[in-house]
Amino acid sequence: LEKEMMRTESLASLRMESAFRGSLFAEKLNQPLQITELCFRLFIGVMFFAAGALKVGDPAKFQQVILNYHLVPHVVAAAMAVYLPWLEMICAVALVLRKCYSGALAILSGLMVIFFIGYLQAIARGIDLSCGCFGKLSEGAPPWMIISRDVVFLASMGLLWFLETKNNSTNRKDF
Amino acid sequence: MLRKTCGNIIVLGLIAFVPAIVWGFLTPRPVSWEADALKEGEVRLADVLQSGEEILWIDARSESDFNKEHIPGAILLNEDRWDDLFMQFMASGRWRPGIKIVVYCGSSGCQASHAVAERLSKKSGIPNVWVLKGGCEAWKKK
Repeated sequence: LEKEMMRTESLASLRMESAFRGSLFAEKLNQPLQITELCFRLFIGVMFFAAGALKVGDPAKFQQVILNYHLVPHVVAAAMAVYLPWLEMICAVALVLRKCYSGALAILSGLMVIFFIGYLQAIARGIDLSCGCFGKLSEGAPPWMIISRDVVFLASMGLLWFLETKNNSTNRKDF
Repeated sequence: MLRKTCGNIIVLGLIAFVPAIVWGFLTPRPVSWEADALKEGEVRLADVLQSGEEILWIDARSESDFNKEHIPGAILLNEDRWDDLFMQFMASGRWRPGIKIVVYCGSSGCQASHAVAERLSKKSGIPNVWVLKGGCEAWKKK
């Protein structure tokens, strides 16, 4: 009985040791991914917070920018001009702090896709406009610059989605 | 994950509502909820035409847009080449004290007409400067 107990104990300690080594190894493997995720999270978060902050001070002007896309009626543009900058800023903070993370990422990705399609259709229809994405800072920016910047944002968000899906499948804790 | 994401979207959306509503009332630059509301310094095309006054039209768009089409008799004056164009404007002899100046750009969404009108009235001291609501689009719809 004593021998059996010793054997069980040694087996248990072996299992614990291997599990401990496994988790350390997994942690080491995950670290570069976590750092990459953090960098992209900060990049997207800071950009969207800045974009919201630059527009929030002048809702009247942002309303004109939205109207210039010729996509929504006047009242909807008014509501969007008041609401969207705050939504961008709050989602940006949530993204950086990793609170309500998937929701923040979904909202910002959705907004980004809508802005991008809106901008492309405006160019296709020959509407001369400033994208209004960064308030006064985006005025006069050539279309190729706005499109390239949006593509970079969309690619970064795609990467964050990929990492989030991967995290969910491995149940990694938040970084 | 989908359920959690939807829940998060609702929470964030509701959180953003609170400052948006408060700021909507407090902001010094509020949005206009009526489509036909005039902003400070704007005039409607119908009012301009009905007034019967002599109007000096100023086109605040780019030179290429001006060359494509413009309101008959309009003068090009934009911020891209302000110094040259302003000199030409003053030298043309079209402006005289008391004449009503109406500046326009592409549409209601562009800001160039407001910028040029402000520059004309505040920096150059020219009185009776207005901005055409709806810009060139309003003229085309006329």
